[in-house]
Amino acid sequence: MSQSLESYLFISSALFAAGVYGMLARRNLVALLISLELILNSASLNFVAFNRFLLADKTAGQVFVVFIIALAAAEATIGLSLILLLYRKKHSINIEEAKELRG
Amino acid sequence: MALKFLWVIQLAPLAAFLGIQLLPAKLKKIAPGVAVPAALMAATAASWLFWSQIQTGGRDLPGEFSTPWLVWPGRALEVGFLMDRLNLLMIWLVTVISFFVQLFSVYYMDEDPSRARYFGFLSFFAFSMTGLVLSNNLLQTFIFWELVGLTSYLLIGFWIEKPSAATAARKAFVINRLGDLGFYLGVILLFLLFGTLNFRHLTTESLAQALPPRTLTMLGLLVFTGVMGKSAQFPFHNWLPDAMEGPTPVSALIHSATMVAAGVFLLARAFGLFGASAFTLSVILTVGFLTAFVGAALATIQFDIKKILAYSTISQLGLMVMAIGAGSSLAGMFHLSTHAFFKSLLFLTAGVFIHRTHTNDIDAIAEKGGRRDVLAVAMLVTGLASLCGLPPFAGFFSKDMVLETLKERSFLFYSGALFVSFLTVYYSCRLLFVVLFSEAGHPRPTTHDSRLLNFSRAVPLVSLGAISVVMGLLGSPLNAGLLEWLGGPAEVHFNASLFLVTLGLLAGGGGLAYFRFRNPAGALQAEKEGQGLLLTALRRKFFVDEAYDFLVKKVALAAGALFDAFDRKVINGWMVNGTSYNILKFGRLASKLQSGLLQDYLSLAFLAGIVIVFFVVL
Amino acid sequence: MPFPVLSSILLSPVIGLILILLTPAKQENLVRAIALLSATVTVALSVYLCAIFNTADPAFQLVEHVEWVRSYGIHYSNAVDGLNLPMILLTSIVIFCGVLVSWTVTTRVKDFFANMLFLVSGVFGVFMTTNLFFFFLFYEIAVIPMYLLIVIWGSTNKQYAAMKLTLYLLLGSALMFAGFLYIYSLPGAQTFDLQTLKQNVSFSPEIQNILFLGLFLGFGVLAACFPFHVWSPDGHVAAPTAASMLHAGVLMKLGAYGILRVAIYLLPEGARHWAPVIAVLSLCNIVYGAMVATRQKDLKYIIGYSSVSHMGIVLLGISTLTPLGLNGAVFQMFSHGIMTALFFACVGFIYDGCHTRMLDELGGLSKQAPKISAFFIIAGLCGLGLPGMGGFVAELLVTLAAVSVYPWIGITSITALLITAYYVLTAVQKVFYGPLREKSAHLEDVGFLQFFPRAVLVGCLIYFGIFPQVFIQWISLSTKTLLGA
Repeated sequence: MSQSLESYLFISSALFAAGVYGMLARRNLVALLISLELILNSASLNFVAFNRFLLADKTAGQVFVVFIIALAAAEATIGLSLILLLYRKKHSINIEEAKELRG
Repeated sequence: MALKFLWVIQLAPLAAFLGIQLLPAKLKKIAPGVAVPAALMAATAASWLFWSQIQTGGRDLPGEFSTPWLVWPGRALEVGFLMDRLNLLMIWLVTVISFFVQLFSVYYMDEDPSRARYFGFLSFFAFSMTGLVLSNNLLQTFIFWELVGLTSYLLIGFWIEKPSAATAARKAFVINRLGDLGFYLGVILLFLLFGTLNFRHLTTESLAQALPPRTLTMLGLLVFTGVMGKSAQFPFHNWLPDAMEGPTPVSALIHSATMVAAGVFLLARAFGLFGASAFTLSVILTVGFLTAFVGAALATIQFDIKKILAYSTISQLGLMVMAIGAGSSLAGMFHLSTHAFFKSLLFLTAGVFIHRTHTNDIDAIAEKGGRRDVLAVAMLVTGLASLCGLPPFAGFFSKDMVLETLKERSFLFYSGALFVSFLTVYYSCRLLFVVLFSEAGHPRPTTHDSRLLNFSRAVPLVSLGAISVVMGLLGSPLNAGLLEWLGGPAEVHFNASLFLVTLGLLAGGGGLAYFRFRNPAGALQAEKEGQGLLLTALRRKFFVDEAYDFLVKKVALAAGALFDAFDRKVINGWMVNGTSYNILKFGRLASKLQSGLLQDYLSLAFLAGIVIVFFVVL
Repeated sequence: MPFPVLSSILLSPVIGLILILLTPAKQENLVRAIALLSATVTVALSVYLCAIFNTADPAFQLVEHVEWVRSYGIHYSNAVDGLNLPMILLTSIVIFCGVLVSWTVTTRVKDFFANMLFLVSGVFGVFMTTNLFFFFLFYEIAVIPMYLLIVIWGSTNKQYAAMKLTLYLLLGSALMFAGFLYIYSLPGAQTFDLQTLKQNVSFSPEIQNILFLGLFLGFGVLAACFPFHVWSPDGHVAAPTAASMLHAGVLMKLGAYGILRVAIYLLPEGARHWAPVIAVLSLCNIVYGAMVATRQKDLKYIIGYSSVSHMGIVLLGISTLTPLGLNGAVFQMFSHGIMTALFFACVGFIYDGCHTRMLDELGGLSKQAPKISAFFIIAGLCGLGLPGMGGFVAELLVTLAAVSVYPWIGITSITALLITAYYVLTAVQKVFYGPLREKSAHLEDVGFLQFFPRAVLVGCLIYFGIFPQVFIQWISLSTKTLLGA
């Protein structure tokens, strides 16, 4: 495989697809959170790849990636604490248990 | 100068009314001490004024005081006093009768705990009636016209615990209102079309110049409906007998002498308006005749002394209206004046009987020894003689004048009026004979009334009796002073043929009554139980009440129920709650999308994303 | 700078409100005293306002103008002319009497009076302001406390009624606000100031017609115009006494006032176009409302529907678009406000004493409580148009105008006099006459504290009924200017 944009995009879309699949198929909230990380990583990868191949300035994409990593960390913190709270209340982290907001 | 006295006459009763309202609860029982002097003051002022004007031959007449009441660009409504011969007579009559009735009420209402309210209302009535009479324009007349209607309502329902009194009061007000709708509309249209409501401008000539004849007819008829309501003309007459639920002095003052006569007074006052159309006059004549007949016919089978007098009042009002319809407001006003005195006399006499025997039923009054009260019987005879038209009592002269007027106008109505007079004699004698000829027990030994009470009972009776006789003589061939004052002929000629006719009526009616009521007990029994078409029709009062009942319950209230249902079902149910129901339903439908499962939302969002991408990109 | 009377009237309840909020809830009498004091100040200032009002000047007087957002033309500006002078007086009288009548409220006293004052400051603001933005703002301020007053202190199906009332009023205000924004967007406008709009913007006939319709519907909802009237009887019934007084006495007048102040002022052509429709709708109000009232069993519903009927007279007066008719309409707004406040003050008292308002369960009250009966009967007599009271003069003026502009509608509207007499007297007969009923037996008549506010209302009715010229003088130049005559 040559180092081309397409190969990066291929990997990133595979990651994205895996993440979406995980989001839709898994019932475990931690697994959902991990799937979410996958999606975010695929986006990061896209940023870096596009930046590397298409732009003259090599830093912009990396700045965004740092942002995304920070964001993902914050999001994981909040998400995990919510999951903990849910676990305390329901003794389960199955997503199907949390449907109080149904119409 | 003379106009200043009008302020006294107008405001003295109002001051009494306000004074009584302001009395502290402990002093309420001295209310008569406020009302009677005020009435005396008004009566004295009116008498002095009347006398001084007679002395000077009406030098200050007509006098007018007028001030704007409601002004807007281009137009103005005024209020004020108009003083001329007609209302000077009327104001004298009103204040004098009002004084005597209030004096009598001291005796009659002696035991009543709410007499402060009674005297307050009576004073307020005197105020409103004065305002009505002194008014210089039709709108002010209407204003006070409604106020006398209000006091009539309040006094009919004076005994508030009696449900029948409340019903009668409401009936009186609502039927009067029905008539007043026409009056109100007439006033409004007249103002819009003619530009002024002042009586001095409402002359036949100026009206005929300004307005086309059909409009004049319409206006006259509209105002006349008000008269029909207030003066109890057929078919608006049926509130008056029910109004007898009120205290008897009230019936004497309001429902026989003054307020119900206000309609007739208005006919004379605004004669220019009515006289401007021949059609209006003939309608007035016809309505008057129907009223006179219905009243007299129904009076013949009543057993309640006040009802007899009430129907008789209706019938006499009909006669006055007929006279005016025949074109002679002079005759109408003359009969009004004499009638006011002798009818209030009769009512006060009835009041004495009722106060003594605690019943309204003529049979029971007679049984409980009503005839042993010599003064009351004497006054009853005086009053009834006047009512029948027995010479030389007052009714003879005034009724003869009415009959003469009718004879000139149309033979048909003349003979109708003769028949009414015949019935009048019959029911008067029936009343008299029942009281006189029944087996009389001994009356309940009355607690000896105090001197004050005796005074307040006797003075009004005797004075009213005396005045009624004198009033009649002032329109007789001996002296036609009253008629001359009103602008009539200086001399009245003795009409021999009419005299004979009257005597014939008296003999016929009296004879028939004597023949039937020599032995009253049996005859009354027969009347109470008798069958037959005529008797049923009379007993059911010609089904007028039933017709009203039908109109109110089956037409008006049914329409109200329909509207109510429409409001609840269609507007509130269908439009308002329906809208809210449908919005909620839509919301419930939309909320089905919210399963509460995170992954459902995600798949939906993902799907939506794909669809958007599909449409946007491709 | 002269003494800012208008702002003082507006601020008096606001300051009272703040003081009440600062008072501990247990100090109930202090709360009442503060409310009464601020209401008294508004009455005193309103009377003073009437005294210094120049009847010879048709323009806005005592203008108070503070620039706020100049680029959007949103200014705090108050002024008084013949149209809002009586309304300000009316509001202050009703709140004064309302506070006194509510002296007997015992649940959550602090919140109650706070809401009352909040409501009334909104109402004052609507009546005073000459800026459409503030008009809307104050209007919204008036609606929300009404909801709370009904939901917390109300009776009889109160949640339904409160929600209905609020939704209706907000529907009205939404239409109204849409209209305001549309006016704002027109070329040459870009301001919310009424007078500037009147001078700078020329509305084409089509725009006038559409805009007037929108504004009329918005304001008409508030004025209980048929067929948007059903919120008002329900609201009247559910609201506590003082809130009913304010609601029927003042809140319904906001709509009619808005029609005059905004819709007719800015869009005279549109008004002329729609006037016959308004006349027909108002006739429905008058006759239909009265007919429905004949069938009601609850005393408050009777008054509620009589309000619908009487507001119809206001609308009929407006629809004539003659100075006479408008004078009558404004007069009727005032006298109906006072009259209906009196009505509710009496019914509330009876309800507190007897715990029922059903006609069939009451009876014989006038023996038991002669004073309150007299007050109710006086209000009833004013309602049925008895001469000597404000209602008669107002109806006379409106009828005069209506008969000359729309003869048949005017003539038909007169029948309401008969129907009103019937239902008012029937109610009076059932409640006050006859033998004393069990439920009525415990009612005690009004003491001085409860006598006084009702007597004030009666005094106003009779004073303006006998001397209507005082009132007509205030308004006649303004109505004339409004119509550009």
